Amino acid sequence: MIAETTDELADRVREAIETERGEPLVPLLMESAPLYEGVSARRAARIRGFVLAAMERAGTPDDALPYVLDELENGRDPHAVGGAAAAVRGLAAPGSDLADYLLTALRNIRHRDDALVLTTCEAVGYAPEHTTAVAEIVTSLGWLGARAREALPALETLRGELPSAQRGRVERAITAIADAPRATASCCASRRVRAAVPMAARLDHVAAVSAVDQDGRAITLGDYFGGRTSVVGFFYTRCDNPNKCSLTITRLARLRDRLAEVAPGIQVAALTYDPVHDQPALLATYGASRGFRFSEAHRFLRVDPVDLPRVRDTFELGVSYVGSVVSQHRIELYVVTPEGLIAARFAHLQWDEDAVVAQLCGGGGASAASP
Amino acid sequence: MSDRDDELRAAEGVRTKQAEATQRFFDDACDVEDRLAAASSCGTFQSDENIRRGWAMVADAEHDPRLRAAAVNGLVHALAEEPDRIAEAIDKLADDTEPEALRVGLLVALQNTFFSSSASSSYRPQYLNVLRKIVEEQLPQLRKFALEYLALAGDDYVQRRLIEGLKTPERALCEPEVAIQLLANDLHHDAVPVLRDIVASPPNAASKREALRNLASDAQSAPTLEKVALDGEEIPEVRHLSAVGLFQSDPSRAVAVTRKVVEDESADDELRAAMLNTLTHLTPPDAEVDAAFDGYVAELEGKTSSEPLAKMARLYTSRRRG
Repeated sequence: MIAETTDELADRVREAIETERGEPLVPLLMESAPLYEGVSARRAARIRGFVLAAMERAGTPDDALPYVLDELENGRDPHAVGGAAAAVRGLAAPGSDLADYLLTALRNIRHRDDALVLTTCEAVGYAPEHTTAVAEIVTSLGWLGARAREALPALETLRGELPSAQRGRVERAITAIADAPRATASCCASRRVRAAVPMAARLDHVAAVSAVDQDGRAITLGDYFGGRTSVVGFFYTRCDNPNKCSLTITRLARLRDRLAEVAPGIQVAALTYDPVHDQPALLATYGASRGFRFSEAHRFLRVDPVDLPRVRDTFELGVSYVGSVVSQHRIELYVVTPEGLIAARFAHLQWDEDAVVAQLCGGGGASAASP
Repeated sequence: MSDRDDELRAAEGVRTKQAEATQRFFDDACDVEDRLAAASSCGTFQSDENIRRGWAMVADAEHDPRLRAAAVNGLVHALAEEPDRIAEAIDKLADDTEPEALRVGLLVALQNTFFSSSASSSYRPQYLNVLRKIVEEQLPQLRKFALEYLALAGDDYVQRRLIEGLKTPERALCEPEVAIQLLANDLHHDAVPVLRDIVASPPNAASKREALRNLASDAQSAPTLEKVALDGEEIPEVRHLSAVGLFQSDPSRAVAVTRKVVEDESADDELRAAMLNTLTHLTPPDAEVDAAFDGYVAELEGKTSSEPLAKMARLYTSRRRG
């Protein structure tokens, strides 16, 4: 059972820590979990931070890794990023690439940090005892020991930039890394997370859903996706995280241009999570300003808001809402076959373009597509 | 003498005055009032010696609190250039045994530093934490500054406390209309039901106005805005701002509502003129044409004795005719 209230959440977290079993916490990290419905973006981030931080003591299962890496690579909220950094210390076999993710998180969060109390998901006031996202990141780098050796130059730089009162933690991390015996690290945690996840969902349930493209032209999803292999990303123009939707569309534009050369039959689309707000003119401006070249085959679509729940269920989207406003979402890109099968998903981390092209061209999608 | 020479001489004169004022400010033999008067001409301390003396004065509890606060003012630039001092300043800001005047001075200096110096970001967690402490203290000026800063940053704790204060006035951190303005910096879904309650049962007129303004962004509050816009018992200003808000959340409903008010000859003529002005400028291009309404407005210019209403009727009709 997935926790639906904060009391249930607190019970679940307490139990996981007591039994040292982190597995039951993983469903609480799913962006679409009922717990997040109607919850503001900031509160959602606090809940994620709370659950992730608990994994330090309960153990961080492998299934939690996509969520941990997602926050480290893309997160902009100190609670969620701090929690993810703490969760690294719950991993049984940390990969050698984790230091890279922690350094990315350091760059993302350093100028946005806050005083954190990660043992609760409530917004707390003045907290004499608190941690920070940067403190959690630095502590985890030290905990990685020899596996974080490549982070030493960045830590040295950080030490030089920090005021004297805050240098101690960084110095301890540097010492821990430098003094640790060289270890054989398991490589590489992120490769599996970045790879495509096979799916077998069908578009039939949403084939009749009407949509409007960036030029205001109406089309059903069945008509758009039928007969050609498609790549479809999800985004919304109000997203305030530059590491997510804005970057997703920029990368989708690049993917569209590359596919035009190697597999011109494949169409590239982006669907908005926020059809109430994202009117055609907004879609057109958002795409064009990020280099997306629209055409008959390559479109941005807003579905009828009434049908959004069906689209969400069919694609198994990682998104939650407060009212009609998106409160959190993951990065997600789907491959749809000409027969209307949602065959694969790249989620959480920005996709590896080569892997997407290989999936499309090597997986039979491109060859099956009409030109 | 060239203009440039004049400018150089004027600048030199300012520097000399600042140096004299600074000397008087640090002169223990002078009267406190004289020293405070000199402080306003000191500018920020430039020499290492004056900066050292300034920090010493801030740290010394034996000095008059007003002098210590004035010294902080002179250290604003030094604070941004000496990041290690930021931690000291934040600690002193948190210290509720220090006089309020000094703490206000520190808060203003820190706000300036956090705005202008990237070095301050390492202290951001410590600073935000202390501001959350201050909002719970009974010191109005300090609290006001802290609330504004945290609300602008969209701080969750302050948002929760502001909503709590709107629901339970004895827990309020500030006046309800101010709380709504602060919440409006980053309006969350959680605040919407509270705003609707305030419209239904306002603690004062200003808070009702603020609540209505902010409900404009919530599509589900359209019925509330419609009800107020059509309420003949309501004051015209509030009816008008409700109608304007409705254009944001439900434009087609807003067109119908404003037309209704314009046609209501028992309504205040200035309100009808304002509604017609709103219709002229905010009617969406795809709104349904109402020939009967357009005809009514076309005749209104010659019929009404209200000059503003006649003027707006003329403008509306000329726009409709394109």
